[in-house]
Amino acid sequence: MTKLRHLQLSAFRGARFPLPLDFGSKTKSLAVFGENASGKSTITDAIEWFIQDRVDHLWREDCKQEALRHILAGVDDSCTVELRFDGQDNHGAKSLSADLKTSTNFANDNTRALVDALKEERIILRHADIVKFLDERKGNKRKAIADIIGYEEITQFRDVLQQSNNALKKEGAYTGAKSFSETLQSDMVGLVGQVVPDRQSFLGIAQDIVAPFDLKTAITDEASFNKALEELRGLGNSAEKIKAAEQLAQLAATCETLKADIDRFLAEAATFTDSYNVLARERESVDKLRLSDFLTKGQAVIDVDTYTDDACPFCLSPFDLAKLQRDVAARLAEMAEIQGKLDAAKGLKDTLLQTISGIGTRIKSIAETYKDLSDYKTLVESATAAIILLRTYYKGLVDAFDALTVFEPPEGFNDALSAFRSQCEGSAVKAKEDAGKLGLTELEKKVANALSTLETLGRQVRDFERAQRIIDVYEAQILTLSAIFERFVTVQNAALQAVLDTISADVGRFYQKLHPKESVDDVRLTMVGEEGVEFEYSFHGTPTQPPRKYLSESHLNSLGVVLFLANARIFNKKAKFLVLDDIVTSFDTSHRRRLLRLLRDEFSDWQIIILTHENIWFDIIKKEMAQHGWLFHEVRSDDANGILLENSPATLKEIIEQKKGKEDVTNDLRKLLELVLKNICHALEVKVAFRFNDINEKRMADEMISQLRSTLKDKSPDLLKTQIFSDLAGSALIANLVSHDNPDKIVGADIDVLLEDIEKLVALFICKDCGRHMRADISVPGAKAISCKCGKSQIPWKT
Amino acid sequence: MTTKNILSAAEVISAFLDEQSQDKDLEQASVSAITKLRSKGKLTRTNLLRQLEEDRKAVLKGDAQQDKG
Repeated sequence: MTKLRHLQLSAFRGARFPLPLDFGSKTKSLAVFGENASGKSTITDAIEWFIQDRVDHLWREDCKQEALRHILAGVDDSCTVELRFDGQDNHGAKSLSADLKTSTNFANDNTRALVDALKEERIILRHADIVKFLDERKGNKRKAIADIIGYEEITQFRDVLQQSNNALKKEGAYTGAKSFSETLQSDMVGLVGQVVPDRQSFLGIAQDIVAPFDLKTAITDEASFNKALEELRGLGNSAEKIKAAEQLAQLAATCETLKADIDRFLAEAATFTDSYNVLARERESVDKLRLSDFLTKGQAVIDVDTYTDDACPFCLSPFDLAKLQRDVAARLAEMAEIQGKLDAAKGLKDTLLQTISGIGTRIKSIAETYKDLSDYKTLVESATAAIILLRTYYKGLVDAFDALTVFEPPEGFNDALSAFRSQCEGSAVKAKEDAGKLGLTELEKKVANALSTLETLGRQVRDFERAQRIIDVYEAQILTLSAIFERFVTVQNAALQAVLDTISADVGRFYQKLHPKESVDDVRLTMVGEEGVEFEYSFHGTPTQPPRKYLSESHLNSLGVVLFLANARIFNKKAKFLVLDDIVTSFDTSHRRRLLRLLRDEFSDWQIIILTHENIWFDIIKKEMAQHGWLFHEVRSDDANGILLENSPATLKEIIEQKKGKEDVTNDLRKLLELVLKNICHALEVKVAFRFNDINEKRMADEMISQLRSTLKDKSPDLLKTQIFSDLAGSALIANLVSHDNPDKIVGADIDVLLEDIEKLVALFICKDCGRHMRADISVPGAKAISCKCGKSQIPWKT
Repeated sequence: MTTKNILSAAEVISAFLDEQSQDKDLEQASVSAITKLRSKGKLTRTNLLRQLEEDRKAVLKGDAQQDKG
């Protein structure tokens, strides 16, 4: 992971002239103070522009590149941001020319890759962004969390499973096979009173059918079935006549079925061509479906809150964003409607092709089975011609659909098919009449009827098994996709919940550090319904959501801050630096301190850059973080010269060192001595006279020295013999300091003498190891002494 | 807290498909079709439906040959 070493901007936002900001080789943390409108956010803007190629708060307001160049930058002035990351040759520069063209130079490909990776990370938090996530709707929160960890792929995977399964259920071959299966079941019930699901069952039914004839052969398998049929045909006076009657009965049944099939086909064909040809004639609209993926992805880009450009993201042409969003949504809705129509037409086409195949099989059986019946020569010839005609129709239909062209049946097709239908109708009547003319006995009629029933049932069972195989193979896939989809929804939610749990662990802990012993605890992110995520917390022990229900603005801000920090710590892979720009506006003093301690304890190895316009907050940071090696700068605006950066001393001693020889430091020395004495008196529980409120803070140094001496006289008399106390007691300098009305200033070497005295005093009561005071309430066991917190430094102390 | 408990989207899907490939109650040709298309970066509705159609044809062709045999 990386941190920042150096930032330099020039002619960028508030910085007219080169503004360097050095974090040193130790990539130190930094606090920057600047009054409102002093231009301190220029630093944040520079980092954001360098990494993201945009500055979100500006882009949102339609202030883009033109807002980045300093207003007084000349044509030849380069608006530049240079950033140096930790590591060797890890730097780059981004410039914006006077004609607002951006150019970027990286030291090498590694830096380029690093900056690309940083784009996805959580680096900058501004006050305006803190509660943005909290106010998102549940669905958007879920998407935001999913986006953080790249879960878009999961959503896509789930969608493919669901869409494919839905499409599979609607495929014509499947729905056609189911419909055919139902028809066959109905036909079987009509013929033999029950559904005969397979060949084995058929053989059982066949035995029942032939049972009345008392055959010698019992049907148990295919061989006995064929033998029984031979035996059956041999009953009566003429096997030939029975065979002829059976054949005619079959022919009549086939012709009647064919007539019904052709009627169904004509109806299906009319429905298909009516709907399909409308689409084919609007081919341009259907062709646009190829753009649907592109538009869907484009919509995802322009619909996110972060996209605010009034330009097409593809061609960069100027375009009103709201209008572009409306146009894309309208085009996608139109495409969804066309896709629906196309899917429906495909279903009709598949069903139609299935029907043609069925008719073709029957016609072929007529042409082959009855070619020896001279009385039906015309029917057989027509059947042969009809096969060719149907093949042509089938091929034409497939070709037209694939090419999305208007489909027209072959010339004369409808007339020829209608003529063939009439021929089937006539042949069925004739076959029945011819069978009647054979003069069969009652037994022979029964035999012929049984044979015809067996033949018809056998065909129905064969067709049923075939349809069932198609259904089975489809349903195996459908059930598999359904099961996978349902399981994946569970896996997806579990994966997301794991993420939420991980974030929640840090969010809850961080929040607790900011707000200990308050009525709000157990803060976490949780799934709401199937598509939502929401913050949940215990409020007086009761699980509660959403955050705005009971939390104050300050608590909401805390929640936003800790969520950002948790996400950064968990998910940042490259950036180990954070920019916190004016984020504590609604925090009170104690919560500000707690935030600093949270940063100190949990982000001690991170580089933190804090920008603030609040002096008190800046002083707290100085006081708490100077000892941890932080840098401090103040930024001020110098009118036409733009913003300037100055070092900001972290301690009074640094201030005095900086001002020495240039300005009067008497007041600073007095404040330093008072501060040192206050801290010592506090730690040693030195008793002073009671005073109300602020007056209590305004203790003079001589009062505190006197009371400190008094306490030491009782508790640690040997310590009082230390030279520093007599030096302090007799110091004319101190007398000078404690008198506010004394016009004399402390100057020159006297400053050094006084600073040395203060240092000696501090050294007596502060541990060199832990830097903390020795305290009256930390007694050393078994010794008449007190110690600091680490115990390494002690002073004698009577109890 | 670290990210060790957090799987990437690719890891979640890969682990899930591995688990499904062990489930004998599922039609494994379909699981395999999804896995292969995903590994090629071609897992779309259209491509999956095409592959499933090929699988169905193969199964039905096999059945038909078995019937003839």
